[in-house]
Amino acid sequence: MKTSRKTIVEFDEQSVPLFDQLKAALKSVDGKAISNKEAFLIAMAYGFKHGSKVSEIKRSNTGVRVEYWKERDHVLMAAIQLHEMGNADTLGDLDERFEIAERYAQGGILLLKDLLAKEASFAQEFAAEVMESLPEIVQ
Amino acid sequence: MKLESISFKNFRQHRDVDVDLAGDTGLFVIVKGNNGAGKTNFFNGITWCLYESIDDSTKFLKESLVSQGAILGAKEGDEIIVEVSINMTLSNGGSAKISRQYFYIKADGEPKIVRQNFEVMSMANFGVGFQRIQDSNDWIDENLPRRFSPYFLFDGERLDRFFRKDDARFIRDSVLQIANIDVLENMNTRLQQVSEELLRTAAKGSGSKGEELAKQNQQFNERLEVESKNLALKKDEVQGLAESIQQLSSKIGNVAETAADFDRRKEIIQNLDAAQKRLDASEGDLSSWAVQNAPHSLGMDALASLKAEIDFARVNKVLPPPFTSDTLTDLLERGRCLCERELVDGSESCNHIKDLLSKYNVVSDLGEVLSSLEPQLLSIINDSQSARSGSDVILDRIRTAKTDFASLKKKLDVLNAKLAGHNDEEIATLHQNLRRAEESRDLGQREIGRLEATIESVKADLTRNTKEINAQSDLSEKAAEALKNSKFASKALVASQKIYRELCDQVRNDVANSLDRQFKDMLWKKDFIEKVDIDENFRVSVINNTDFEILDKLAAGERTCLAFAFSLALSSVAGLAFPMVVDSPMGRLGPEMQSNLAGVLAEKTKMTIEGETQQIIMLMTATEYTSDVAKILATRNPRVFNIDVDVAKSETKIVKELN
Repeated sequence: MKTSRKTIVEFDEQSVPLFDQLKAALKSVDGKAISNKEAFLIAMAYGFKHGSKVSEIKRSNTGVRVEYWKERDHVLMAAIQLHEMGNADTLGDLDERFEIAERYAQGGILLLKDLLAKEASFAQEFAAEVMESLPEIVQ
Repeated sequence: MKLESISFKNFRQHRDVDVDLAGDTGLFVIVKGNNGAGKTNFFNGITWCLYESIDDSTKFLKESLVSQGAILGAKEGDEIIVEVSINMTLSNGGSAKISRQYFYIKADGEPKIVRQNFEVMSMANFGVGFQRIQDSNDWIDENLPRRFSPYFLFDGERLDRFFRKDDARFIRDSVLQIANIDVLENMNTRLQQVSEELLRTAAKGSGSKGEELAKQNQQFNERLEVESKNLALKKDEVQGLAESIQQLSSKIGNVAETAADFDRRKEIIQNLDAAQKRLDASEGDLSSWAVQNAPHSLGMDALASLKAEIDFARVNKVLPPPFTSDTLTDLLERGRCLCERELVDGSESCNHIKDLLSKYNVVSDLGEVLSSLEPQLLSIINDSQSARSGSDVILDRIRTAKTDFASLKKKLDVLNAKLAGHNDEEIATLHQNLRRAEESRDLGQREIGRLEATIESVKADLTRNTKEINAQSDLSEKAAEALKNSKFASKALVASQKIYRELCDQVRNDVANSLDRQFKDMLWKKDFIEKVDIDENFRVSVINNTDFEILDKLAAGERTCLAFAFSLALSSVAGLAFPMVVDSPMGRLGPEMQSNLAGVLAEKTKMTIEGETQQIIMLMTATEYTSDVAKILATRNPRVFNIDVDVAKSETKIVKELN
């Protein structure tokens, strides 16, 4: 597997405030605001689910440091990479994996923008959508 | 006896009002109007004209009677006359014109009373004209005794005083006064005083010992009088406290209940807060759950593709087996499997491992990548299967918390509506006042017990003293005569008291029987009441058909009926068709009770007393004189007046409605 030249998997520069908003709107297990990594994964998965991605992001140098990604996180990013590329030949290319992840994360956060505007009910509406996706996992 | 017309001049908001009650329809009169229109002052005008009494009291601010319009319309120094006149026909067929006037002068913008006049003009039924009565108050005492007024001119919302268990004085006084027996009671008191005075005169006629006995007798009697007065005062005080307790209770419905409602509200607010916290916590849990599960849930399609890719790679032998080729080679070299079974060269097991090694000898980079992803992928899929049950638990908690919250909120809204207008401090103060009044009442009752014991003891001393005086042998002629007269007065007193008791019992029984009849006749729940009685202590009891005493349990409408029945019973026993004027007869009743009572009033008050039908005048609000009630009362062909107030002028108009 090729090692990545990236040190940070980044948020789009213009979407940094939106990611902050997402972080504040959801609670982590300890009751605190969620981390950059959790926000990134959520936005990425949301973008993927709705087929929303951008062609390129504007670098912000803000996001998740590469060393923070665990194997479990890589599984999802690799799955998306595989889905995006159509074959498994480049699964070993981490730079490609991170770039695809960044594009979907940006596509996702832009979609979540409207949902985030409904501050009070965001967590519940978002959870409901997650639940709707659950049977697919079980199957 | 019937009020034929009433006119008001400058009496509060009735600045210039004439009400004509002539004719048969004037026997059943309804004056209807909104709150504040002037119904109560119509009622007050009648009691003021007849008895110079307002709200049951002769102590009122005289300047308060003057119409505001009259004050504003008068110039400084002008005279303002307040007047109410009543024309009436009497039971003997004669007529009377009763009028009362207060004369005021406006000074410094305020009316100052300068004189007053009360005048009765009477005409016998065969007379030729009205004649001025010399002593108007005597005429009133004879024809419209003031003592009757509380039982015929009353406020329907204050009917409770009629039948209070802790105070039977109202019933006792009404029964005794209606039959004039109270005069006999006064006579007995005087007879007792005379007997005692004669006894002391007799005692004094027997030397120094007699002087001493007379002195003791005087002291015992004085002490008896003092203690009896103390007892009466204490009883009044306790009665006053009982009234305060009742007023406090009625002021806010029921202090204890309201205070309990406030406690309940505090508890609900606490529970509501707890439910809100549970809801917040559960929503927080839901949020955490979403954070944990969202990426894999939303990215499921991708994960499924990855799983398919791994499965495909395994079929195409791109993926290595669970053990690496090195591990398998080690096993062959060692000649033993992991399970310690011997791997003999050429055996089936050995050949199987060699076969595996040959197939997976082509492990690629892709296989390596997929192999590294597979364990986590399987773990994620496994976790996702339990995620649903986790979310169900959280959603259940949210639903329960929301249901609890909604239910508590509903209860809180109901309590808030019920407690609107009250506040904790007011309730606390009223509650405190109530507790103090109850403590004082209990103390007073203990003091009454002590005074009664003292009185019994003094009476015993007095009896002993009387015996000693009677036993004296060396009396002078004058003393002997006095003793003889004292004994005679004492015997007369005993006889008179016996007659008094018999009369009392007779009148009490007559009123009780009449009350029993009237009330049963009025009740819409037939056969529900077995008996209404007035016991020897003048306490009214209502016994139901299962032999329970239920006076306190009567519904408001039944209680109102009982009050009407009592007034009609008094009329019947006294043989007096005293006009009945009732303010807010149905003020405390709900719609169903109002209809029931309206039926009773229309049908059961057509009582003829010695050839006369009793006149009934009812002052009702729109909430009492509803369309249903009006329809029912219409069977009695009432004379209906509308009382309306001109807010700008603060003056009323009373207009007869067309039948």
